[in-house]
Amino acid sequence: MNRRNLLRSFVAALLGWPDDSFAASDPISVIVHKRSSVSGVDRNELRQIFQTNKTAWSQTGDRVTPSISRRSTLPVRSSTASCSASSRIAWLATGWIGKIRGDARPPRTAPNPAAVVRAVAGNPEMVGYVPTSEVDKDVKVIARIVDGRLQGV
Amino acid sequence: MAALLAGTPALAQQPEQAPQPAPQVEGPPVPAVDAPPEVLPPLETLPPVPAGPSPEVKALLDAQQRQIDELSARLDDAQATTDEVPEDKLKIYGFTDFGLQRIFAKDSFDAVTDTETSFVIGNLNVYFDAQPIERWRTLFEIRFTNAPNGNLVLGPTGGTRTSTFQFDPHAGVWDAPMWGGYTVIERAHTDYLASQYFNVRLGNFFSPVGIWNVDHGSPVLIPVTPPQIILQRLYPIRQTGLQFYGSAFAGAWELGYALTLTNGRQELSNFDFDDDKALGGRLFARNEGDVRTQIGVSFYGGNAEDKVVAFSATGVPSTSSTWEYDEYMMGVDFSLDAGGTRIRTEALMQRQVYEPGKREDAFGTIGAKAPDSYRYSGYLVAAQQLPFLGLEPYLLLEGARWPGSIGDTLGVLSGA
Repeated sequence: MNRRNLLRSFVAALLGWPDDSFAASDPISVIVHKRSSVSGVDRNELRQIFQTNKTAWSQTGDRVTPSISRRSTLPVRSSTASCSASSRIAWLATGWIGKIRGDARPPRTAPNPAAVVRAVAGNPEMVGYVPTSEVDKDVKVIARIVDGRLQGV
Repeated sequence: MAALLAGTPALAQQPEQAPQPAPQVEGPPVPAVDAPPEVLPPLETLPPVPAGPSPEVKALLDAQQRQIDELSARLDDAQATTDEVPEDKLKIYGFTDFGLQRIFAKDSFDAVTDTETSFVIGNLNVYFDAQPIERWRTLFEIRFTNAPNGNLVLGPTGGTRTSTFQFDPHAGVWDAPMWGGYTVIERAHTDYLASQYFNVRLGNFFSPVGIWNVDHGSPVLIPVTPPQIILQRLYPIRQTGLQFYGSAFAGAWELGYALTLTNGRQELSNFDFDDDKALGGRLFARNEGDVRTQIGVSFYGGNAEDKVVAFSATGVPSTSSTWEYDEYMMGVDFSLDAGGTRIRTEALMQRQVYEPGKREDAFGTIGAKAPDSYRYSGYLVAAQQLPFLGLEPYLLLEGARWPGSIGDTLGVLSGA
């Protein structure tokens, strides 16, 4: 799964939008540090964390920092109608840009899913999402996105 | 080596002993050298070789393996924090906008502003965003402008245009042209990010009021012109002091607050002219799901005055104020993002009460003084993103009411 489709599928799941615009060949896993005491997350909380509105887990109160794998730039506006795949990314990007204007930072970025895994494995505060095939023993899966829907593990 | 050293604590702790003699292995007697060689017994009769390590050695090896695994895991953890995913200690970013402008108005309006078709640069803003250590963050926003070059200054007999032209003193030749411009510090503050519920901001920041002043930057604002709320400065756009802010979550809703303790209005100076401090704040509820919704209320209260210096006949300086007022502001705001549709609306009321004998001059009329007043203003903007060219046409409706020289009510309907 390329990074753009990965991001689109992830954002669609956060928003609860059905996503059949492309065939997801690999479910997406939401990962945290293997020693994290967090055992699950719901769609609302995950969305709030990746929008950087929420900085602590409800379950434990521990600080949380989201990490994403994306290109160096994101489109600010979508060139297609609402509920399209590109508009979902634009929805997230616009929120982050607005957040910057309101003095907060967007998620930390990594060049590829493998780098996200390494970042999460090395930082107990970090949460990320990667194709399930990228998950290794150094991280713990707390949720999966299958067919565009967030599910527990 | 380290693992092996670490894995042998039992042996290292034993007191030193004399070397033990090699264990005796019973077997057939070794024949004398000079004696005729005898046939050695077949190998089958020699004592059997043990099949594996002894239990003691096996336990030792298991302990060593566990320590190796643990050290390996620590090494993996350390390697995971590589330079491939660094935390940026300093980020520099910004925005700029460029456009084509034309103002359609009566010919006489050309006397106060340039109405002809013109390419323009709207903003050139740069952010310096530093997070050198955990939980501390500093943000500067600098705007570069050409102002006041080209500004038209109107006087009783006409207008003069400001020029910032000069010869560049560092160009290597005496007559290299250059034009100067203002650098505006939009904001400069440091934040301590204690928790989701409580954070502290120190420095110069945008007043946490409404939508426009918080969003601030052109990439997220909709209309190309600021509303009257901003233009008429019904509250201080920026303040210097402390801000406490945070939020909590109730399901999909975020409930947030901001409280400010500042110098108040600082439109005349970067310093406070008195010991009074201004209080302000905002409460909001926000849901940034499929449909983004935000509702907020804001408030501000403070004292504003000027400060003049006079010298007595004997050269003794004294200070006083020629105008002074208390002000209170309350506002409400609402925003909605649904698909490609964006709606923003704000309304606020400001109350000004002047100190007796200290009223500002008003209305450009000699002898006229500003009254105590209630000032109201609000706007509604609705925009729709189109599926081509990134266009977003909008409709803006504004209203304002406050004492003025030609009337007390203003209505504006515009769009683009």
